[in-house]
Amino acid sequence: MPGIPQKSIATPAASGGWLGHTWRLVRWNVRLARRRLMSKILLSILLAGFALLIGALLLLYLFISSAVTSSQLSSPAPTPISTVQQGEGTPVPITPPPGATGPSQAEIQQEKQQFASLLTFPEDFVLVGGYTTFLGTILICILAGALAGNEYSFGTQRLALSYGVSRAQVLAGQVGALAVLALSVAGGMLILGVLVGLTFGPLLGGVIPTIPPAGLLQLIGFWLVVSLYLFAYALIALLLATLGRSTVAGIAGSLGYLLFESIGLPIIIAVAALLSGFSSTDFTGLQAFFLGPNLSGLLSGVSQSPLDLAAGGTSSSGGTIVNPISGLQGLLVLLLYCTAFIGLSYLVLRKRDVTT
Amino acid sequence: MWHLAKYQRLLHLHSDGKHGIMLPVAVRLGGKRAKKGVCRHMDVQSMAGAAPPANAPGRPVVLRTERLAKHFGRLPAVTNLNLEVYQGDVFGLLGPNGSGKTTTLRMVLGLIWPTEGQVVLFGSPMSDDRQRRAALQRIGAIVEQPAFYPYLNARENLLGVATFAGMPLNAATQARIDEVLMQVGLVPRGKDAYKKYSLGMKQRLGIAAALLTRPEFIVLDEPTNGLDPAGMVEVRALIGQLAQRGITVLLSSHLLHEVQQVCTRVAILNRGTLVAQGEVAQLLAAQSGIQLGFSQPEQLSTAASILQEAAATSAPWLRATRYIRPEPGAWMPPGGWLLLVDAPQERAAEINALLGARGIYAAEVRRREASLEQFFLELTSGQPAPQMSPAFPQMPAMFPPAHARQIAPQE
Repeated sequence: MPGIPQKSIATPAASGGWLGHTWRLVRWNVRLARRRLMSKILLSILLAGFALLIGALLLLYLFISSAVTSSQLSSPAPTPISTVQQGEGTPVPITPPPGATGPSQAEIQQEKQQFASLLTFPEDFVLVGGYTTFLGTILICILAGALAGNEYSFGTQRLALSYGVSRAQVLAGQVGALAVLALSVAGGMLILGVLVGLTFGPLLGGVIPTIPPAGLLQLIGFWLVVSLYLFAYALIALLLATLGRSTVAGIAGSLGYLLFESIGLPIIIAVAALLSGFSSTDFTGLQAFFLGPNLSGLLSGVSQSPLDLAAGGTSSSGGTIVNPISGLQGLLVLLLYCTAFIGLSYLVLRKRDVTT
Repeated sequence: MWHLAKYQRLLHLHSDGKHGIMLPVAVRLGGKRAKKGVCRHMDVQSMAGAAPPANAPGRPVVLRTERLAKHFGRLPAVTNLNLEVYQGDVFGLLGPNGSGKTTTLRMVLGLIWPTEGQVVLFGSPMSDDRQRRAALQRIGAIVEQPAFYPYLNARENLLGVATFAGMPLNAATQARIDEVLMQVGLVPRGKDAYKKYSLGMKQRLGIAAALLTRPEFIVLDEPTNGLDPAGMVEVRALIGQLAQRGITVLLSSHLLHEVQQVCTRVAILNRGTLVAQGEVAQLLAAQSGIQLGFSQPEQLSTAASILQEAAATSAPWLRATRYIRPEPGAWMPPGGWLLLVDAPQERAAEINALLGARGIYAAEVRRREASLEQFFLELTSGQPAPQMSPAFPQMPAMFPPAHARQIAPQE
């Protein structure tokens, strides 16, 4: 080692207060997430999945279109499909009753329009939002678990703390980074949705409505809710990774909870209904205590906005999304959960010795 | 009366003593025997105050631990630890594995919370969040092994350290990063991912991180771990340069030769307890003296009694005696213990004559120059050395099994 030079560069003094320092930690955590190979793989999976979904919808649309075209070519009038011998007389053609061989042209046309609207802005927001809250949630849980857990496995939390970063700042940096990542993922996916909707919508015969300024605010609200959805599950991963001091605890725990809400909870309700003799709808109130149903309620509330906008600013006649949990209730429960997750993580971190 | 000056100085009982040394068991010939197991660092209580203690070397205290203790469940890792590191010190924290060194460093850096007592850094208690943050921003540290993000390169990792330390991420910080990378010789590998580094390179990056913020106080836990001999010499030189610049260094190491070369003051921990603290030179001086070896184990205690009597009457220059274990590989009497006499070295012949007059003849008389290693081993090895002969039945009764047996003859 050459040693300390006689004339060295003046060290920049520490700058900024608590908030400034914490914001730099947020940016640092985002940078860490960005530099990971895992993040790149997860993002690739998300984008590839989305491309596959759009591709599949386009194929379905083409399939339905071809069905419509073939039916139009073959039938200005119903086609006889058989003849019956009536004694000595000539054969008489028998016309099949309407709908006996498949959907009518009107039904096919309607189905075709539905597919077209799925890929037309702004209705495609519902599709993109649904996709993001499904696959995006899984992927952000993995990312959040790794972000928090690796601080223990690499020993870098020790590094941060020994340079004067407080435990509250460590947590705030991680929570802030997860919020930024959730907003970015949701925002990125919705921008993709806009591009897809503006590209394929008109091609498929969809009509893109003029979005008023209030409509833009509604779309921003939709983006925020999708982001909140991702953020809430990411916080579960953060809490569990902090509790378990490991990446595995964060990822497995959060995905396990997600699985429980998706599959376990309905099964439990069904079994409870079966055993008690009540209807499963009597247990719907139980769901209101869990995160997922509340998030779905909140999402359902905001998912109405793109549909309304597509219907010209009025309440759309078809496709109204109904959820037993209201958007407001969903938001309140979500905020409660987020506060609990962050608070518990802080308590664990505050009391804990960092020895790894 | 036996002359007490030397041990008085060691025990900080000297009115104008400047450098503190704490020994586990004091032995003063002709004086009161100090109570065993009680911390004898004088002015321990006064250290808690803002004013420097009377025995302070006239420099501000950078780090002070006050009755610091840490228990992991029922297991005490550190007990009643009172350390003082002064500005400009190169302070060595020594101890065998499991003695509580790293636990102490972790508490100093706020990574773990003390069970009792407190850490005071730059005059601020670490229990206060804001003050801890401010104090830690003046420190550079490597604790255990360096910890960095494996997928980031050296520059990016140092950028992370700069972020943690609250430095602005601007051109000046980048220039400083380049500078410390140059200091530790990592510029050629600055763009390689950390996971590709050898242990020595990781250690160098850890040192670079510790230097990055140009701290006033650097904590290095085993800084030469994984370095080749040339690297060790470089680290030693670097620590010397830091000390020349007035930077305080707290160094934990097993390499006692190195510590002896670079440290000005040391503290020795054993089983979580402070067993010695003071200036290296003075600690070693206390271990030097005239070493007497006897072929008959009974002669050992008889010789000690004779010398005690002589100290009270005809030989006031005799200051103390204590039983010591021989250095590994050295000659030893059947019982495995030697008698170390604290007396001017030119008096060796007179000591021999005193004993000879009473029919006790030493099989070996020689000058003893203590090393930190020997001192450390004496203080920290709880069990008798393997080469010790069991044929010394009196020894267990005379010498309690704890280490650092210093005894006073019958008073």
